[in-house]
Formats: sequence, C-alpha cells, structure tokens
Amino acid sequence: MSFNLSHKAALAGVYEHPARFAPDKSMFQIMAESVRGALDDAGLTIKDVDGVCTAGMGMGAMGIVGFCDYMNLTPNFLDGTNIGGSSFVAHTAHAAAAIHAGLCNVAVVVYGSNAASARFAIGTGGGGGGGDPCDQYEFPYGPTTVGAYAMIAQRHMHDYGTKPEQLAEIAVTMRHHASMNPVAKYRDPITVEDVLASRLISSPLHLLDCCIISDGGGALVVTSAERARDLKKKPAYIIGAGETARHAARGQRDFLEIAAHQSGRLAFERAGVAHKDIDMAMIYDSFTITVLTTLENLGFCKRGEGGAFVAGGRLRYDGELPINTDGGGLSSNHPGMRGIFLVIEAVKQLRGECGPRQVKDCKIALVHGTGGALGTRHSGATLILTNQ
Amino acid sequence: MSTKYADVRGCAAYYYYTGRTTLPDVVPDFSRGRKLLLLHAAGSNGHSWHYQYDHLGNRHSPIAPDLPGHGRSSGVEGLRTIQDYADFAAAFLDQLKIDSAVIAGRSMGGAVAMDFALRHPGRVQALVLIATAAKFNIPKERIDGWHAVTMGRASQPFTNDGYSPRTIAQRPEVIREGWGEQIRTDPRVRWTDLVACSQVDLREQIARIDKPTLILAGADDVVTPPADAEFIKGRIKGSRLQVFADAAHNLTTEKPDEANIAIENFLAELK
Repeated sequence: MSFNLSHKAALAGVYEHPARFAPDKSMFQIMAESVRGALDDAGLTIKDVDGVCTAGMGMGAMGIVGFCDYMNLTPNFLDGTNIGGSSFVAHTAHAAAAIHAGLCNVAVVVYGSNAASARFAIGTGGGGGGGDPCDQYEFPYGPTTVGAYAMIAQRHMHDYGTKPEQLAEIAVTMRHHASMNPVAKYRDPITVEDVLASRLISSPLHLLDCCIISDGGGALVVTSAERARDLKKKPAYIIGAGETARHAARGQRDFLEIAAHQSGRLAFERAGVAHKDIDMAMIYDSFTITVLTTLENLGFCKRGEGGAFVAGGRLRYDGELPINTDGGGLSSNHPGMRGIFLVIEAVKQLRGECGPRQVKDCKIALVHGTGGALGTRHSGATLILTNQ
Repeated sequence: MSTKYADVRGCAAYYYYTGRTTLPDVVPDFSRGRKLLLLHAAGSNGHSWHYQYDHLGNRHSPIAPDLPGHGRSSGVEGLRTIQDYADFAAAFLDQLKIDSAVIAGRSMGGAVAMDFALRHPGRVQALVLIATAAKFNIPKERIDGWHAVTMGRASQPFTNDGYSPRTIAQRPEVIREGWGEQIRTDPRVRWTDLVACSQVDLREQIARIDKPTLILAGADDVVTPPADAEFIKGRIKGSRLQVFADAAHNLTTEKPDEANIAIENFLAELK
C-alpha cells in the first residue's frame, strides 16, 4: 500500500522549555508548561486538544493516563509508545496518521523530565529495560549505555580507520551552535584538542563525546494541514516518515547497520525527496558516534566515509549539511529522551526563527531520532518536514 | 528545619529556615528574634549551615538560601561577581519582605556579606564574618584545577584542605559530609565562584563599615588564614574576633557548638 500522508498534517506549534536545571519543578509541571507554550505558539488552547502522545523515563507504564489526569484532559486519541529517545519523532508521525484517519483533530506530543535535578544516571547507569526476556543474555555482563555506543565507535574505527579527531569535530560543531543558543547548557566554545583531552568514559568516547544531562521538556502541536494554514505560525508539513527497531537478530546482526538505515529509506521514499534536497537535519546526538553512524545509515554518505564527511565544517549551520543547530544533546540539553527537541528545532528552522544560527533558505528538514542504544536493541524514527 | 522556594529575578531560589511551613508564595513567619541571613561558601549550599540554623532557630529566624546555580536552586550557572551575589541577596530579602537582617557569611559568603553591607548599609543590622577575607589569596593552580574538572580533564578533587589536623584525625564524618555538600553543585559553579572570589578586593572599602561585626576564624585555616581575619578586625571599627583552636576553613561544621554559642552571644548583645 502506498504512503498517502504527505502534506496531510502539519506541526502548528512548538515549544522548548528553557529550563536546564529546575529542581523546583516536577516532571508533569515541566510537561504542562511545555504544552501551554506549544499551544500559545500555535494560537490554540487546551480546549482544542483531543489527542495526547507522550512517553517518559520518569513516568510509569501508564504515565500518559496520569498526565491526562494532571491536565484534566479526556482525549479521543492516546499514544504512549515508548521506544526510547526517538519516541516523539514516531509520535509525530502517529499523530499525523491519526488526524488524517479522523481519530482526532489536534494532538499534542509532549516530554518533560528532571533528569539532572533528580540525578538519573542516564549514560553510565544500566541501559534501558532490564525486565525483558532478552535482557538476561546481556545484563549479567554489566552493559552500560555509553559502553554499547563505544562498541560501535570501536567497530567503526577498526573497520574504516575512523579517527577520534573526526568524532571530536562533531562535538566542536554542536558546541559552536550552542554558543548561539542563549538557553543551551554549555555555550563556551571547545576545540578538537579539548575533546581529546577530556577523560575517557568508555574507550574511545571521551567525556565531551557524550551528551550532557539536563532537566527540560518540550511539546509539539500536530493538526491537519488545512487547519494549520489558518493558525498563527507558518505550518511545517509532514511529508515523510519511517520507524523501525534493531536488535541482536539471532546473532546475525551487522553492528554498523542501524535502525536509521530502514526508517530513513522509508522516509525518503515516502516523501519523494532526495538527499540533496535536505537543507538541514536534526540527528539524535547521544554521543558523537551516533551522529556519524546515523548520517551513513541515512545515506548522506557511504558507509565508512562518515569520518571524512563530518570534517571540514560540513555540519555547521552555514555548511553543506547543517546538523543540530540548537547545540544538540552534546551541548544544549539532554533530559533523558531528546527526540522532541529534534522536531522543535527543525520546525523553528523551517519557520526562519533561529536568529544567528538560522540556516539560509531552509525549506526541507530531516529529523532522525534514535532510542535505546546502538550496539544493542534500539529504535529509529525518521521524519521529513517542509514549509512548502 | 523547613525549606521553600522563592522566585528571585527568575531564579527559583531554595532556602532553609526554621518554623512553620506555609503555602506556596506565602512568606513564612520570621518574627522570632533576629532575622539572620546565612550566606554559604563557594560551590556550597544553604544546607552547609544546618548546625547553625538548627541551633539558632530556637531563638532567632535563620534563613539559609542556596545561591543561584547552587544546591537545589534553579539555573546551571553561578553569578559572575561577588557584587552580583550581594545584589541577589538584596533581591532575595525583598522577596521575603525583610527590610533588614543580620548578615552572616562564610568564605565567599563573608565577602558577599561585606559587599552587601557597603552597598546596602540600611539593610544590615550586624555582620558575622566567618573564615573569610577582604582579599582572597587563591592559588592559580586551584582555580585551574577546577577549570580542568569542568572541561572533563580531571575528576573532582576531594581534599582535606579545609579542615584542621584534629578534624582530619578524629572526625572524618565531618569531612565526608563536606564532600557530600560539594557534589550537590555543578563543578562549573564552584569554578566561577573561585574566579569571582579571586577578583574581589574589599581591603580599602571595608573601613567604611560601621555595623556591629563578629569575626570568626579557625586557627588552622590555610585557605583564609587567621591573618585575614586580623586584617578585617583592624579595618572594621569595633569589630570583635574569635579564633577557634583545632578548626580551619570549615569551622562551622568542625566546631559547630562553639561557633553557635559565639553567634548567639553576639546576637543577644545587639541593640
């Protein structure tokens, strides 16, 4: 069956909570403030909302119902899909499909977390899950999230001679972008030498190859393309989407082929656009290696060529393929699950609201979220958005 | 002990106090005895005063905020200068509807208290300056060391520098508690605090302070040696200095009972 969702739904409102350390706020409070911000941005009110999509690290399995209680919402559409940090990228596509199918009219996608002030051990603690049958084959060996990503980096270096300097360049670019984002947590410029001089967390990843931990949250408002055109802000239309999972595959797994390989291909096919059409991309940057491998798997460069591809300022906001212009999880914010911010920044770029870090003539943006950990079970969700 | 948030210029400022809790945005009752503002040291937080507010709270109204970026107050950065912290303290008192108070500070907090007294004299009833200096002598290596921590080149140092030989030998739990307070604030905030401390020089100005002043120092303090306290005593007319044996930079936790009695007696004598 062919994909018929292109230009059917749009992002009408977005809001990124400015908090980076907010011990005075609860997770639901951050989420509620984010929803209000996104609705204000769209020119809608809470009374318009009849769809809710959320997932979180701090909430229980039925947290979405608890959040509806907190907000006094009784929506007609609920999506509590939790596939890790990419969840909100997938939610956006699910909401678009639900709206197109007539299940609801206005859906909010929301995330909030006090990961920093509640001191979650995100990267160095145990990886996600732990209760599923497949975990019994890994958990006894003490895997960590950063360790799983480091394994991918090691493999890439072993197979293709990728250099730590090349990974470091990604962190340097993200920090440069963060320096133009007044709410980013870390804004002081860093150099490749700084990254390499920072201590090793899990070889070959240094501290500055790893995302930060912050509090924060954000929300999106998704509605039909028709309705979005009458609202306050210029709509960002959803034209392509894809999602999938990667796992041990009965031991047949190729570690460097990640979920983005499949979800990206689907999103490009469904959107009917080519790589050269993409004006900027938001790529989940839990670690520098995540960006490099994702770019390869999305097909922006050939496998093994990522090291050379990310060098020379190509990923800068004024480069050939601007990536993570908000400073990413490496420098701006990372409250546990970051997918929501990928969509928010892409929409702001498409609207031309990014000030000094604005990408020129930005018409088509790609968003790719990774959930879980590369190197073991993970998810990938890709979106392609346009302002045209 | 109770805790509460106050919105101070957009910063959700956490503070410790004694007495009854109140609903959000309702200022607690601070009418018991003297209002006593306790300003903590670089990279520390209001809880570091727990021996003081627990004891002094019986007769007075101690209030110990976490300065911006510290402890449980919001924000990821500290303020850049001692003056900024003093202005924050003034705004904090505004928010708590307090016109004037006894201002106490340890180390960086002491410098903040002195600067506060110089620029907001009408709001100061008296000063308590603990293990502090009019000009800090912070070795460059110490500041650079904390910068290296913020850049991921080194891990946080946990040292005994702020404690007397007797504390080190006999009360390791006091030092462990201090390290526990240390990790409640981002190292970057401690680094910028140390930079702020290294840049302040109040040696000339403090001669203008005409408030009753109690100065407390640890005989074994190598961070702000007793000579720094002697200097302040020489500059602030009528000030009184008490030096504690077997105590150092953290004398408020090393010798809590002695420090509390000294402060309590000082408050009792105020007119």
